Amino acid sequence: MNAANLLEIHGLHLYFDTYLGTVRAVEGLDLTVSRGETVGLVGESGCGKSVSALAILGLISQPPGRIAGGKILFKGEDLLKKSPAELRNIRGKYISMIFQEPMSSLNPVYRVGDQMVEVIMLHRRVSRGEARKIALEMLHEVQMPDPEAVMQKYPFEMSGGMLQRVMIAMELSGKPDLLLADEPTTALDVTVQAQILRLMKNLVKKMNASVLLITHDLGVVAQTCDRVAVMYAGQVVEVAPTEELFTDPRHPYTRGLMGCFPDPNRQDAELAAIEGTVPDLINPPGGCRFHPRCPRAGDICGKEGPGPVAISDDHVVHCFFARQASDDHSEGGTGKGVAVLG
Amino acid sequence: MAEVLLEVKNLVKHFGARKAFLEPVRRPVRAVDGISFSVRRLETFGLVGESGCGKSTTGFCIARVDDPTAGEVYFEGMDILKLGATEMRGIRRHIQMVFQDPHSSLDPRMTVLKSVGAPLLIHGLATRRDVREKVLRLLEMVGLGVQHLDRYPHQFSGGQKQRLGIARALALNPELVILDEPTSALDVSVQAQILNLLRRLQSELGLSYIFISHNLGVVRYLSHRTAVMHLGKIVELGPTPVLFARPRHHYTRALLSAIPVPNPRHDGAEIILKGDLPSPSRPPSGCRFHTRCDAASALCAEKEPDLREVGEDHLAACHAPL
Ligand SMILES: Nc1ncnc2c1ncn2[C@@H]1O[C@H](COP(=O)(O)OP(=O)(O)O)[C@@H](O)[C@H]1O
Ligand SMILES: Nc1ncnc2c1ncn2[C@@H]1O[C@H](COP(=O)(O)OP(=O)(O)O)[C@@H](O)[C@H]1O
Ligand code: SF4
Ligand SMILES: [Mg+2]
Ligand SMILES: [Mg+2]
Repeated sequence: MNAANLLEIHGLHLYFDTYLGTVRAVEGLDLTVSRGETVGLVGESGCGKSVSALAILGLISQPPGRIAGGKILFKGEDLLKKSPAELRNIRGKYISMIFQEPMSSLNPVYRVGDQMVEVIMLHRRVSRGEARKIALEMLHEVQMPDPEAVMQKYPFEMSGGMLQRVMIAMELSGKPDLLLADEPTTALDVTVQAQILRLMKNLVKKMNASVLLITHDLGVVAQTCDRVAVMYAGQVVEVAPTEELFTDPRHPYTRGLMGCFPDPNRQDAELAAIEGTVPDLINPPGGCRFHPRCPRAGDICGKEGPGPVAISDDHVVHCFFARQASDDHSEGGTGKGVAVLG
Repeated sequence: MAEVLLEVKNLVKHFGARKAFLEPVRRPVRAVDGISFSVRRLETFGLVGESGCGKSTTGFCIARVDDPTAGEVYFEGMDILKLGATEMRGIRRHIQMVFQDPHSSLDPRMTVLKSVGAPLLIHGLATRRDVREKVLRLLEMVGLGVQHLDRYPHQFSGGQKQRLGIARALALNPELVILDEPTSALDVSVQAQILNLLRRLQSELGLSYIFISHNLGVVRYLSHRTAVMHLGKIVELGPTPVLFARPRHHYTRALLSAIPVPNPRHDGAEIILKGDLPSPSRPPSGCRFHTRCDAASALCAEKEPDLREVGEDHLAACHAPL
């Protein structure tokens, strides 16, 4: 393991056994996060972002879940080999997680302050009084107006943006090395999203924490991440430094996603929609999982899975044609639209 | 200037607030609080704003799904709020609505043929004999086919269901379609397919749209003119390219600068608003944005600014427009 890497996921396979069959939700995931780095994990719904993050903290319920292979090295130790007690100890102190819906992690019948104090006592092994002091400090850090009053509130008395601040304050109170943030701003309005993203960025920088930021929004990625991994149907298809991903996307799916965002300078152009729909992960397509929707696919794509192709040291693409650069990001589009089934 | 199809004047919708827990005074939610605008023939009129600002309520009032508290809504010159039930029946088919959640407009127990065919039969636009043929034509229009006719809603993906929602709205040959967040529940790749479809249908069928969304990028792409709503009011209205390139209201500017741009070289949000949006049941005095506005003066807290002309075809409600 590279010493600079805080987290290294190698060849993770994560399946769910359902009565309809086995959902092959994550298939051979490789991902690294180094110290102080913010890595984005992007992709459309169902591609396996959340379950990958949950697996890091051992939060996949088994059954129906099943880790069918791989390693998750955190500071060199395989988290998949840890006992539930060891993982509980890691959670909050070394690795924290925030979710899209803060209410899913808060108890509606307890005051926000009491919940923060409980969590801080657990993560920091401090007295109640000390925990209270830390809670107030953290609420101040997340720029909460009137922290004392906030401590007395019940979750339902607060807006989504304020609750997400509470969650960030609570989860960062243990000074974790790694924050897993699963769509933390997806449920918020844009102006509140801007507040929360700025705040998270400043706080993790100050604490020198690493972040794995899960989102489906390429705009959020561009504004917050150092590196990005693009997922499609349970696999990472492209990893690159953020700037390089946007200036030189190599995977047809990455290009397709970029073409789906309306370009403000081309109001009259048709959007380069990606044809078809995401595959069923019980029977994923053979070969490259993207081949049925891929505008570039050749005969080989349906037969073999493309291995990693290194474009540069830190730009890796899983596509047979990755070395053929193209300036035209919209080539994935069809301009037809009529026969496209949503 | 193009012909006006729909004109909304001083539209108001207050919801009589239920008595809140331990709150002695009833305070109505001022969801829509006196807005005026018009929609021109063949135009896409965008309505943007953050959640709770009154976009859907505006749409519901125009489609008469909801009854406004006050105001006038003229469709082809007729005040449709004054029409009786029978007269309204004739108008209703000209104004159709598509919702964010396509499930809500499709009966899970009915096949596509039945749910898309029902409005055709009710309005006498099809007979038992040709209804299948006519539904099929609608399906083909939205990119579906004969294989989908006898399926049930649960057998469709989110994007396909939205295509069905659109087919159903188009069945009665409407003039105006109110699209309320039609792509907000969809993934970006599917959203792009639906946006392309909406564009094509508009030019093929000569439709006018009111396009409601909280997604500014999408509104910018699709709308000819855009109105920005804030706490039940329209704060700015203008030609889309102008409004996005040079917003004149301070709220519009803050809203636009908060959109995360998919370009890493772009500098992040310049203007970050402080605090939360005030509640629509106790909106601030004067300009409702004054509590969060950098440029607010004493006047802003006292007097509500009128929506005034600030440029060609461009209105803003601000005492000190940008
Ligand atoms: N408990 C479960 N049982 C069966 N399938 C599951 C379960 N949890 C997740 N999945 C499946 O795993 C895939 C990945 O899900 P998820 O990680 O939530 O996607 P994302 O976060 O990218 O939207 C999906 O196809 C989903 O249906
Ligand atoms: N049936 C209702 N009863 C009470 N309040 C409502 C009702 N419908 C909407 N509201 C309130 O009216 C305001 C505007 O809502 P809405 O039009 O749905 O906003 P938007 O579509 O812009 O998100 C919100 O504060 C909302 O809570
Ligand atoms: S490997 Fe083939 S199918 Fe997969 S993305 Fe590349 S070209 Fe497309
Ligand atoms: Mg998820
Ligand atoms: Mg709405």
